[in-house]
Amino acid sequence: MKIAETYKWEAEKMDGTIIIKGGDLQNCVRFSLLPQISLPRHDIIGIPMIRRFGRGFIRQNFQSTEMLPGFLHWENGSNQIRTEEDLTGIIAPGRLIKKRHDGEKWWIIIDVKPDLITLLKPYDGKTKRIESKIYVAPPKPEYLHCVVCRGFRLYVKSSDGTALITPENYELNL
Amino acid sequence: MAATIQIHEMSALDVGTDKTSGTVRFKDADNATVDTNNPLSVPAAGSIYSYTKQLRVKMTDPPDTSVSNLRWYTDGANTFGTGIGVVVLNRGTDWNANYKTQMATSTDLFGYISAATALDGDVTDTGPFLPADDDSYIGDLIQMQMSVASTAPHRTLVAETLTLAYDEI
Repeated sequence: MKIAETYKWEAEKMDGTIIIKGGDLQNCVRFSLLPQISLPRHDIIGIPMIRRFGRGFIRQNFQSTEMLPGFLHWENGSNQIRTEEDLTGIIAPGRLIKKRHDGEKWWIIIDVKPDLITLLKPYDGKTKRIESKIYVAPPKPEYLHCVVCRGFRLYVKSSDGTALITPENYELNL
Repeated sequence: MAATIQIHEMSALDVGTDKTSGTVRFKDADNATVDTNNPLSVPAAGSIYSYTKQLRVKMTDPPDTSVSNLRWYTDGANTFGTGIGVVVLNRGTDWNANYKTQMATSTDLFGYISAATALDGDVTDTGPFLPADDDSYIGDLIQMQMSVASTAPHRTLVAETLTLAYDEI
């Protein structure tokens, strides 16, 4: 499911007409964000409404990996990698690590100590002292639903349903 | 239905590679491949420049009504390190083959921060973009280039992120 479609919206006019397209909410008495997955529902009722819109955020990285400082000692058959520098402030369990060159396999980290990294599975490859890289996760998209009411705005995040109320003219960017 | 909007790395005005949630790598070669080939090496003196990169927005599913207000920004903090910079220019719809000499007219990419100081992405190819624009490139070409000065450290760069925001009704 696209991030922008975790909620559907509908608005009800004074005469009971339901609208599901467009941006104009004048003469509406109810606006609802209806979750399509397990998210909280949001309703605005009995407040003068002006307009609505969606705001998408998509991203790209300038790097897909980051080089770790110093050299790491990879040993065939061992699930432990000795480090020459303390990497505890840089990497954490759950991250992926590999030797620096293209085509090398990624390994899952399960523990990091000042001089030792522990892998989920034993490393299978050439024993080598070499510079190494960690994987940079792709940036995640986000989508906000915004309802502009008289006196305030309501922004709702499509990813987790959290809501933020701002001044009427506030432009929220993530 | 909500629009699907993608970021593409362009090899011509209307030809590109989807890089949404992906990686654009500045390199000493004119291609969109993300690998370790053709790295930018720190020069002994002065600065070197990557081949330019050009990004553009593609609509691959139409909005109910329209998409507008395309804008590009960073977190404002250049963590690439000493001697490394990225500049940017809105080229409108003026395609120019990528090159590795210094971009003449440009501004610091990290000067474009969320909200008020974002780089407008629809100055020449103006919105709103309608359902009829589905499956086409919309907005302007955004050209970027990385510079590496002799003062830069010898290492692989850390990741930085570029954000595209748009409004939709």
